[in-house]
Amino acid sequence: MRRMDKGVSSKSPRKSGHTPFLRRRDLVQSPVKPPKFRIQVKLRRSRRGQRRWEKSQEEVRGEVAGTVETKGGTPFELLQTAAGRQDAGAWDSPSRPEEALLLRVVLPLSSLAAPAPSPPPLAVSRKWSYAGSGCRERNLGTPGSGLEAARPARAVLPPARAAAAPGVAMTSELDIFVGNTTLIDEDVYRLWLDGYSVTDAVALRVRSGILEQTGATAAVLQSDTMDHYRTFHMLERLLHAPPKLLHQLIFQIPPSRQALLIERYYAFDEAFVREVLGKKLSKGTKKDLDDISTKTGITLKSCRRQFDNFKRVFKVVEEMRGSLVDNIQQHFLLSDRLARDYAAIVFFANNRFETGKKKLQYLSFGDFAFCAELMIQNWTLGAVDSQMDDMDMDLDKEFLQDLKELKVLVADKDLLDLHKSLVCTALRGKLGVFSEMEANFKNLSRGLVNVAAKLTHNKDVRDLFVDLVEKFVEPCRSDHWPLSDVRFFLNQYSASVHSLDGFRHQALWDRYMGTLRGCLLRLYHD
Amino acid sequence: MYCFLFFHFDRKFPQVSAGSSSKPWMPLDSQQPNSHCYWLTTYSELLCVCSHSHLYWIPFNEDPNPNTHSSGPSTPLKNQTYSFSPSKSYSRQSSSSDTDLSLTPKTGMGSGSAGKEGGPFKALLRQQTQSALEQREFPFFTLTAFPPGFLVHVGGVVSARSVKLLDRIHNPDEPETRDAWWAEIRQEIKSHAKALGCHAVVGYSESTSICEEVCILSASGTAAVLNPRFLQDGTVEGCLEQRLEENLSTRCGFCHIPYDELNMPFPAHLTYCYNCRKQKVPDVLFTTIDLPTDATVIGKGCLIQARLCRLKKKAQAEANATAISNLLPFMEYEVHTQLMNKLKLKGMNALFGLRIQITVGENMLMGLASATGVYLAALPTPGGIQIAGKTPNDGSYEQHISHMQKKINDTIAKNKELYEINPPEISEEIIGSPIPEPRQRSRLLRSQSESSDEVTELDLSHGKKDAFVLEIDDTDAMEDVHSLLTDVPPPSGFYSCNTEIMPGINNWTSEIQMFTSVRVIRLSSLNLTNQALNKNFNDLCENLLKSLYFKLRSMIPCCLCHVNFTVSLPEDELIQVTVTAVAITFDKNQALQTTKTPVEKSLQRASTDNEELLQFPLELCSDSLHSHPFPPVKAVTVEKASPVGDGNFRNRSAPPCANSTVGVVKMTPLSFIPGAKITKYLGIINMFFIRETTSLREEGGVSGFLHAFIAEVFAMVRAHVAALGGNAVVSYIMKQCVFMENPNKNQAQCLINVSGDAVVFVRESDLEVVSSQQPTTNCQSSCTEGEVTT
Repeated sequence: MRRMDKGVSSKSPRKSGHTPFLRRRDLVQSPVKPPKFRIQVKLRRSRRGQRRWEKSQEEVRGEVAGTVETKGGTPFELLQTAAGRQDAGAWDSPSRPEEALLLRVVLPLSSLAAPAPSPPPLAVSRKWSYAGSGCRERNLGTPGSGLEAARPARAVLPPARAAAAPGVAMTSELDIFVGNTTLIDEDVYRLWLDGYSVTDAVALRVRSGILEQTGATAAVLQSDTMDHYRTFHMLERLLHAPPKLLHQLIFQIPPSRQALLIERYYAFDEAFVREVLGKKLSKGTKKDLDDISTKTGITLKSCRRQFDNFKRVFKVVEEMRGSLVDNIQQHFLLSDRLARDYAAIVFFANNRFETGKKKLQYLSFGDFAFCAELMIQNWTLGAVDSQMDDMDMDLDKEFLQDLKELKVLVADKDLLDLHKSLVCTALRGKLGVFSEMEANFKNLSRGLVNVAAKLTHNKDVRDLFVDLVEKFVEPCRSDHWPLSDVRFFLNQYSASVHSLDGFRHQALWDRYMGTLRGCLLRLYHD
Repeated sequence: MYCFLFFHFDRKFPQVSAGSSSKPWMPLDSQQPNSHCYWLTTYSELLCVCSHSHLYWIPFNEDPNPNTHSSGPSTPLKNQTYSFSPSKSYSRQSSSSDTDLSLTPKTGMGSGSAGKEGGPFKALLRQQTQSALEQREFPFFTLTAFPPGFLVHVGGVVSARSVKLLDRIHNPDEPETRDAWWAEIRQEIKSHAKALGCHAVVGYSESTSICEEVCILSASGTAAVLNPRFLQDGTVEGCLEQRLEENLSTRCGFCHIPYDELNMPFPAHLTYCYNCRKQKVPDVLFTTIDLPTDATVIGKGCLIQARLCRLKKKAQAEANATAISNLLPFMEYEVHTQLMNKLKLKGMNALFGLRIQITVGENMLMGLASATGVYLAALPTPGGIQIAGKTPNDGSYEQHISHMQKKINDTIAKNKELYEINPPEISEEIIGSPIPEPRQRSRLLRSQSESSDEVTELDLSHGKKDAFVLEIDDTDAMEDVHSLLTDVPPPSGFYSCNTEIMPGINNWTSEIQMFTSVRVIRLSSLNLTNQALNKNFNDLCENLLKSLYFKLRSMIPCCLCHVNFTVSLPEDELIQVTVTAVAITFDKNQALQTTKTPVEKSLQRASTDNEELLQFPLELCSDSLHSHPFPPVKAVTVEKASPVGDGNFRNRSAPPCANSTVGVVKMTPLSFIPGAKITKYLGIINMFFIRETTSLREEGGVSGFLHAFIAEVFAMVRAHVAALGGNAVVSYIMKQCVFMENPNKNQAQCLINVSGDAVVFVRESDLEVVSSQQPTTNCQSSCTEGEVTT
């Protein structure tokens, strides 16, 4: 039955006589001969109070076409109602805004024209085909069959396509390639991850000279890119939980390729991660991604993916016990290196370390990651006792509280002098910048110990890196300490505390200074 | 012997059932008053004799449907039959063709029920002589590959088509009408085979194309003479050994003409065989079967496609059927012209795996022929293509013609180089010149063009060989010549064929990639002409192939095997092309070395088909199915593996990839897996899937929907096979892919039918390990099997 209808309807309305709808192509085909219809449109209120269309159409033999009579309500209203209904109902063409625009242009014409001039302008006919759809219709001329015939006619040719049709001999409707083993093109995957649209990706691939290498055409490239993008799109939801990718059955992908897919998906841009490192992975930050995108030149899509990756990993491992790196590796199947990086990102996000200050701009993600790893190893609860009922994510609160005790090193003047003399004796002659060191010792020591004492407060924890750079790195740098001298100094500085008899918190000092020494050495560069 | 045939029946079962399964859609009452039917025999030599064929068609052209008005509704089964088979065929076939259209084809192979597929096979066992085979109602084989020596001679392609109306059936549930229709067609095929001096048809297949109430029934196959010894009792091995010795001397045997040289069914162009120099061979050979393993081929083969569209006025029922009937012979002729021209252009002389598909739509007919062209050493070197202009006075036109001629000659030379076709030169004296009037013969005419006298004035020789003449008499012809040259050869390192394996390549590596690609294009309704349509269709197919080459470029060097194109016309302006194929990589270095001798190859092939692969453990054969005379055949043809069989198997072997979470399941449309040995057949997989969506846009549009669906179909097949304990699907085929969309409603529907054989395979490298592990099973099965077969 369906096919039968179509058979009838696809004839031109002129020929079939009782099909009162013009499709655009019909008109394009024969613009000279005017169709013979009159359409009456009435607008009235239905019981529900909603506006409802009722429209009667009739074939009027010999009459010039294009007559549109409207009663009740301005034509503008009327058409808007029609457009509105269309949007809600029958079809949803991608060119909807354009349609609406056209309708408005049409209006003066159709509302002016009692008998429209012949031949009728294209726009009028479009209006007809528009008004006919989605509305109740009654065919007075030939009841029954005409109505049946009219419906599929509209179904066959949505307006978007009709508009595209003239001039183009053929348009591709559907174009897919499915392999038993899912094909994955690394280059296209990269482009996809970088957030390029299909068009951009094709352009980039063309520029890469692939056409010359393979003798393919741009159309082939387009279709290939589309295929890959579709595949990646389908894979994406699996990539959100990598173990699913391993256990799913839909895509047969060799293990090496699976690993590559995951690794690349979770890879991130250095520039991007520096921007969000230490920020709360919240909706607020996500809103700022477009700024980051413009700043870093990374596409917004890629930024979103990376941000969502951070957030996803964070959410999963947040409440988990055990080693942070292991947890990430287990749940996201990442390589060791990448898992460590994610651990650092999660750690920073959890503790909200400030990394965005101008002073810290010279530091790379690698520097922070290194520090994060040291801190995770030494300063978290898990570091003391792996059986502890806590995670690697949070710093050991007790330890931070205890750090106040170190204050005695600078508060007690005797202790400070003793410490200084110990360090100076040990380093005399070995340090290129000895005099500067000697002059600055108290300041430096005060800075380092005060940083420790301040860690009690969350706010000061966040500023840890700012403080370290301000209190230690910058003074040393201004005196042009070479890195080797910094190392000598820090070693001696932390070691000589053991010789201070009046100081009782040796273990605490080692836990603090051991990590800090590593961090400072890493942070000390231009 | 049992087992050999058993497997091939198994393998080809889907094809057979494809014909019969379509039956429920086209039942018809036997009182059906007006059905239009025409039959066309297409011999391989058709194009050599087209000046003669042309005469046959002229009356048809002038008076397309003379009997339409006379056929009254009371006449039962009145068909207008146009037969293009040579008149002699009627005298030969008289007894068989008169036999019975009324016979219910109970013993025939196409009776519609799967259980009967074994019919001819059993018959073959009973009837021990060749004459007995001839008495069979339909001595047809759907197999396309045979043991060496099985084919004695191959005559050429025979085909029949019939246009029927489905809406006049009073009793759609009853199969009589459909059976009668197919019986007619099979009868016709049989008679054509007889006309070619053959008593059997191999590589036989049936298909239908339905649009509204019009249906085209098509059948085609290759007429052949079979070796009676194979049809007698005895084991394959016995026959094999005997035959192999003979084969060494007569490897060209199947190329020799089966018909009487002096009493040929049609005028043909014969020469002495270039191999044995004793027998006559035709100058070209078209077949629907795979290349026999013992054939000597020079160079590589290639996929050759002929594509054609014809516009048709929209019409209802009767008028529609008439219009289609009128178009069909011309289409068939055009398709053959294209095939022949492209074959010449490739410098080859034989087509294997020929499959011509005619699809009917509301306002057009599409023809797509795919085949694998090869250069058979036994056949003569093909001549070139000569272009002849119709207005020789015009200077610029002449120049244009000569320019095109040059291009064609260049293309031929390039193709010869590309496909490594360099046959040994044979001096003219040895071959002799047995063909009278070569000039008249070789003339190639287009269907629209009238024969003219100019032909005698033209120099028709191209080198020493006779050339084909392409006459350019109108823009149509110009288009055709252009389209000949637009076919781009695959990029280097790529080969393609639609047969099981590529002739000339035999060092496959184990990397395979099976894929399905679907494309739908929408034609604009404006100014559609035949040329524009042809161009669009041609572009569609070419782009599709190019796209495949591009996508699979990482596998180079590789070959696309079993390339299977399916065309359908789901709506007025939509053309859907579905391609399923497998890409197999091969080792380029070894490819350059001398290939294994054919005998060695055939032995290899035969040796894989031994008893222990049987789907059913032997206990089943001897115990539970005891009463059946031929349990193995019965078991296979009766649908899928029984649950008992499955259960038994499952207990025996663990899934091959137990350690990994998801086992890899290979899929291939071929009957084998390169670099591996199939150790067990687990049964036929035949699955139907229907998917509907009401959120088309959200799923990424039609492409997204179908992409996901096909991926899921593959996944379900793989999962099913894995559940049976298998690790591969062979002989995979997508029989149906019907896609419908309604973007306005945001809806789409798709039906997919796939089938194949679930198997367990073992890599040849792992084979030693495995065989030492499973000595008990193998021994047990082979022992018991021996009892059954002997």
